[in-house]
Amino acid sequence: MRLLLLPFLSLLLMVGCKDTPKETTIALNSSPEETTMTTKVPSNALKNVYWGDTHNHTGNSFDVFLFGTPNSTPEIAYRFAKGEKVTSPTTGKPWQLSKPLDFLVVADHAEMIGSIPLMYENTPGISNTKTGKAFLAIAPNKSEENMQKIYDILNYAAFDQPNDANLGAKDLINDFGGDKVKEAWTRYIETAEKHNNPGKFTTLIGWEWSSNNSGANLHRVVFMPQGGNVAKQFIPYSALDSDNPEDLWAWLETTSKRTGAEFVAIPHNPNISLGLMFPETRLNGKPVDKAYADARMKWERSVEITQIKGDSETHPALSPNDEFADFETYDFALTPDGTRPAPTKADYVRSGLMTGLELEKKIGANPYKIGFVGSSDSHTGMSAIEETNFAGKGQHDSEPKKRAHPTGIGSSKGWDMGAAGWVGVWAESNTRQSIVDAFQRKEVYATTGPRITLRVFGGYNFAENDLNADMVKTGYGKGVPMGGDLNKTANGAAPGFLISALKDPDGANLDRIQVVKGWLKADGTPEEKIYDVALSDGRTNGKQKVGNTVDLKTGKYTNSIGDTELKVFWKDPDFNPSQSAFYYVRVLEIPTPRYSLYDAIELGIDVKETNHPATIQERIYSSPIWYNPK
Amino acid sequence: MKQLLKEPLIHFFLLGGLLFVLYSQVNKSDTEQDIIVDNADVEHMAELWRMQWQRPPTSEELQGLIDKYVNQEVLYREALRMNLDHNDEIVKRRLSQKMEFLGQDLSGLVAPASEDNLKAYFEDHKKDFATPYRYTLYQILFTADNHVNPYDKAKAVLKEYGAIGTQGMREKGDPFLLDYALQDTDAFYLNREFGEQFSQQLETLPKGQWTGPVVSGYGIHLVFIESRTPPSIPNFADVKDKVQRDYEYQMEQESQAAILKALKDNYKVRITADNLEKAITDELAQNQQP
Repeated sequence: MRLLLLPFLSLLLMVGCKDTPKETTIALNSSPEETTMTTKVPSNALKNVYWGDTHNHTGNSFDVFLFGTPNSTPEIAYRFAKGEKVTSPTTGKPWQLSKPLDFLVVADHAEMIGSIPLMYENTPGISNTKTGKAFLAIAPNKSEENMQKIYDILNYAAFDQPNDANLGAKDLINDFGGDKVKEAWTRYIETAEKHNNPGKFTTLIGWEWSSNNSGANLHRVVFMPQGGNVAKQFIPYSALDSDNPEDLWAWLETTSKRTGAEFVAIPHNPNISLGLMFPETRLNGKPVDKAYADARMKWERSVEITQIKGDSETHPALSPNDEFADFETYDFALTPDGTRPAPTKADYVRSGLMTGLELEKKIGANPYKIGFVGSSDSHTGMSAIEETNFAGKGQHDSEPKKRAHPTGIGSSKGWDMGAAGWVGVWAESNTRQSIVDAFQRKEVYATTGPRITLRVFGGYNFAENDLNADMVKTGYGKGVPMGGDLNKTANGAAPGFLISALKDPDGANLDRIQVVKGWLKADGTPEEKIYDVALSDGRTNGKQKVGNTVDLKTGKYTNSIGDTELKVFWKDPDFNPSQSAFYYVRVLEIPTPRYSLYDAIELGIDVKETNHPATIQERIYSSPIWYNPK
Repeated sequence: MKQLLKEPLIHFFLLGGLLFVLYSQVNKSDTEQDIIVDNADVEHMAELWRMQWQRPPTSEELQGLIDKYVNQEVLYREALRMNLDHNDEIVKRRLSQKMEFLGQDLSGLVAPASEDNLKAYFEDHKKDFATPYRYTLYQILFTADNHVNPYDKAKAVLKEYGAIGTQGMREKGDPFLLDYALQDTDAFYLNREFGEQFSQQLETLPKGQWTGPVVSGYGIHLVFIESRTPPSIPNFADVKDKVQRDYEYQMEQESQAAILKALKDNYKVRITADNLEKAITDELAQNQQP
């Protein structure tokens, strides 16, 4: 080491001499006085929509490192989200968003945060532990094959399943967990604090709890509005501590009491939860009860409904009458054996909401009364999910030419990944507290990419002529926004909805607004129905398609079809005041190229070789409004 | 001689020589066959332990650490003697990664974020810290949803009602969920709300009157610009945190690139593989140019 330093220092001094001849001393403390500027952050009582990603991974995540992207850092993640051009940690090429995001949660896997890099740095206390030795024996070098081996073993070992290294969760936590993640956690917190800029760009401190028992994805992203002083008082709770979400909630409860942190937990990828995301039976085998429902609703008020590993709104087998249900369907379970399980109603959000209504009737509380969030789950360190600018899920699908091949994530291949999603948040200002409050109110909505502005209000006193320029004021004044509740009125009137969608100003026109209703019939069984409530181009029947302008040779489309704006006052024509129900809004864009079409054009291959459609209809999902017959 | 002293290359040799002397002094006791564990080594081991476990090692643990250190040192030296480090992929990656880390760390030594350096950086990059255009304005919109030719419609409305001021104009445009009056807003916000192309068109339009048409991501607008504040350069003190963030990032990137380039200049790289596509061969050749 010292030998290495010698020529190196000289060289560096030489390089440095060219530009900075004068400074030779090191400024240990360059800011003598606190430079906290109190600039006033603008606030809007009628709220603005802020766009963000709550789920971005960097090299501190064991899988990002193992898949060969060790140079991905939170610093790059924040700079990229702010709209700066960065050097892609996966490909080394310059990469940039078409326009900046407003906030970002870097949510690295809490399990062994930063430990794998330390293991390869021969760090005492890590490399020489049982786990470190086992891994270094199995994977002495960082070849792609070896990294995959470690990844597979971790997926078993973390949940005490048999594995080649004979490791268990206890070994991982003793050797790589607990206090050993502290340094990486502290460094991460400092970067997050540095980039938080109220009014302009918000960083929320968080992590991912990655429970993957027997390959069932029960992951939760956790974040909070509090800053570094609070975050430094704990080590993120990981699935090595427990893979049971009820234990996570208990930890959130005690840690929140101890430190004052207001946690928000968001489950993701119900689509690969192997029937465990919206269960009627708890992991301990007992039925879901009121205590479970109350705890879950305290911490988990929304779900990530769309992301790179597919869309979880519903599945064509569960919603056979929904012609738009087969959208970015992804069923590659996170098991190394490549299972593709059949969908169950506990695996998708729409059916989960209906199970919630059923449970509410049975146990007196609804555990699945949740708002909708989109986020990327990107493992590249860049929240790059635009179809025109997709950086892939991770290293293995970072470039078009790699995407015909397996990713190492379940049995998926590159093109099975979808370029999605982000979350729109209705908040008074772009600050940590204001944004987190919106998540708590469920005044949030999911997008698969386009930044469509969506307002939804439900109430009993709206009328057609409220769809004017003062709609937002009326909406808040006489009703509730998305995420809200409506109770039965004395005369049993049907609720009305004011809905307005503006296209992404830099994107494609809109095809239609739909209301998705779920309710409990008299016999207690659930039912769903989709209403086309607003159609573009003067159409009156939703069966009539909007058309498709995409040129498959060039990937170009035009906004000659579809509308700039769709808005409607809609009243439920099938309303029954004695039935509990939920209503959420889905807005579809006109067809535009899927990223795989751009890939096919670039690679000069037939788009059919991607095994995915050439064009898709991007969409947004509002958080539901619930009707309560009591 | 004065000229010579300013030569970076001379600095390189002088400092290099000095460091070499220092190095051989410090390490003179550790010859090929001697392994010496001195106070500094022991302190170093104990310190690493403390960082890991938040407590000092017990004397038993310390003994274990020293034993392990000695064993490792023996095996390490034998391995070096047998050239086992050569062509080992993990050793190569680890060492090249170390060089990159060093580049990052040493950029702080060569170009520290001192007040002077930050100020100089700020002076050179003032544009990056400029505030965006600020506006107070009114706008109305005509979309293709409601008009066959929204552009002509906007021009007609401007001609007919352009003189009526900001009262009573709102209803002349399409009802749309965008604010009619935008108080003290900036180009950053306008681009978010109206699309990327919108705000730039406002920079040269006349103030105090209805004007346009202006194109946005939604359609065709008429605007009434009440006030417009061009970009200005903030005080250094107000943006110092941001300057420091950018400066440190920039220096790390630059020093890493400079080091790699300087080192690479000492090598002659020839790609002799002939089973590559021509385009790839050309690009590779391009990358190897000094």
